[in-house]
Amino acid sequence: MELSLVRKGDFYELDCRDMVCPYPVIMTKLAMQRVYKLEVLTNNPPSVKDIEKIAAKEGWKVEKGSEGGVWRIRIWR
Amino acid sequence: MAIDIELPKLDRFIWRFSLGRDNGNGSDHFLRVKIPGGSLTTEQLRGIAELSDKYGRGYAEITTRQDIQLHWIEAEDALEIFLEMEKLGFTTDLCGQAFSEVCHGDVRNTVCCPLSGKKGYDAYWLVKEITEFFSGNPDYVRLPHKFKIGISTCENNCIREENHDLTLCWNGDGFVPLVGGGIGASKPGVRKAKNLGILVYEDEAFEFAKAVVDLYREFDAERKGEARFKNFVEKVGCKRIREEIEQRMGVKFERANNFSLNAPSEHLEGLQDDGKFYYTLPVFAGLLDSSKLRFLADVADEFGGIRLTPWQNVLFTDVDDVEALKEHLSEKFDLSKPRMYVACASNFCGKTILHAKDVLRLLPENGGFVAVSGCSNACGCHPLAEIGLCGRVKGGKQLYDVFIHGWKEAENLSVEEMVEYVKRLLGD
Repeated sequence: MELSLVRKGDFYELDCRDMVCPYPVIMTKLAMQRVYKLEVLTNNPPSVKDIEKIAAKEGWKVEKGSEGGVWRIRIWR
Repeated sequence: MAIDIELPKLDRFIWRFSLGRDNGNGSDHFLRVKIPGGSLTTEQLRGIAELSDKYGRGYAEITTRQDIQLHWIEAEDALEIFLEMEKLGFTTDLCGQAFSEVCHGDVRNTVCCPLSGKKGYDAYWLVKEITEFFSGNPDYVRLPHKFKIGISTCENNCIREENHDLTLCWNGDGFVPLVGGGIGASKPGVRKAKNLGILVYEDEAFEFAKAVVDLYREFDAERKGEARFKNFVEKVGCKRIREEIEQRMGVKFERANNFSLNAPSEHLEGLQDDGKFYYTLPVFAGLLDSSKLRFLADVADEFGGIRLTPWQNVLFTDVDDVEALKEHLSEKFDLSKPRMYVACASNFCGKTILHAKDVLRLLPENGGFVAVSGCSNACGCHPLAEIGLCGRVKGGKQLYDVFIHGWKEAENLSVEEMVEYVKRLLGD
């Protein structure tokens, strides 16, 4: 398995679609050690709450939106 | 520009461990520890107690599929937890219930009569083969929905044979397979498993189970609510399933005539085949905590083996002195509690105001099968019970429907009305 962060403008995109809980959070946490502007994609609703929670805990800002069952969660510090 | 980081540890975990979604009691996630056939060592039991203390507020519950479930699990602790579980030899269900699409179905904990091998035929070899093959197998983690297997080796029907996608019932010569059981509300509704009418010999049993799951894997369901195996069975029928499996396996199965389904019941206490004794400890609604888990492990070390039952109880095997065992157990448990009262964990899924396990406390206690589900998903198995209760919240009010042997007898009762109704039924 590989953590792949793709640069899209100012943010790095982390695609966690189709990952069951808790892997989107684990991947996000690892990515937060590498970059400071991250956009996470997930279609697993509980992971949205979890990602917001760890971002807030680390003092990162959060913005989110969803389309077609996929959430895009932008977190940055 | 991209950053790529190798994550070899996650490869080991990703299909073998996951967290489920909670939505009540302040818990966001549960951890459902698979205990194949409910059989575990005392060291494993102590390990779960440790996990419960460290990550789950010291709480634990036995499920109707012989798992142990912990709650209040934080997603960010998951890697640590999975590492500890791996050392203990556990895996979890793959909980994909939060996805709205048809995906991430896996083979759930294999249920087995906990007296298997102690009294009558020993089917734990098959439990082990099924578990080892399917758990975390990347080829079987994208089934249309969850798939439940049960193995029955007793006449008590202690595993509730009607209620599995595939049940293999030992009849003395081989296994009689039942298919398509499912008592939740998803399409086509409550269905008891149907007898395929064939005999599967021991040496074909694992391949047979695999062939059934392979068949299900190809089910092209459009929506999640239509994706359970019971709907597939409803659509294609037993005859075609039988023929398809015979063709895939290259065998022609004998017809099985000597099989009958008994009313489900729990084992109580008695003599094993080897002259030792077994005893089932009633665990009210499956509720435990870490100190009770450690206590049970200590008692089992002193008196014999331990297995969890599909009635959310704990069965002690290989006991020499049952009276001494009971005396010891009564230090921490009320042995007079009913053994066939089961309830789901609706307090954690957030679908009830008065929760299923708390409803059980309000009812008079007797020796019958009483089951409470928080909703029509029927996790508490209410359609199979002598008295089954199914909750629903309407207009901010908790209501319950009452079922007798699966037939709805009263609906939309308030909690008080429901309790009075059940009291009358039980002659209390």
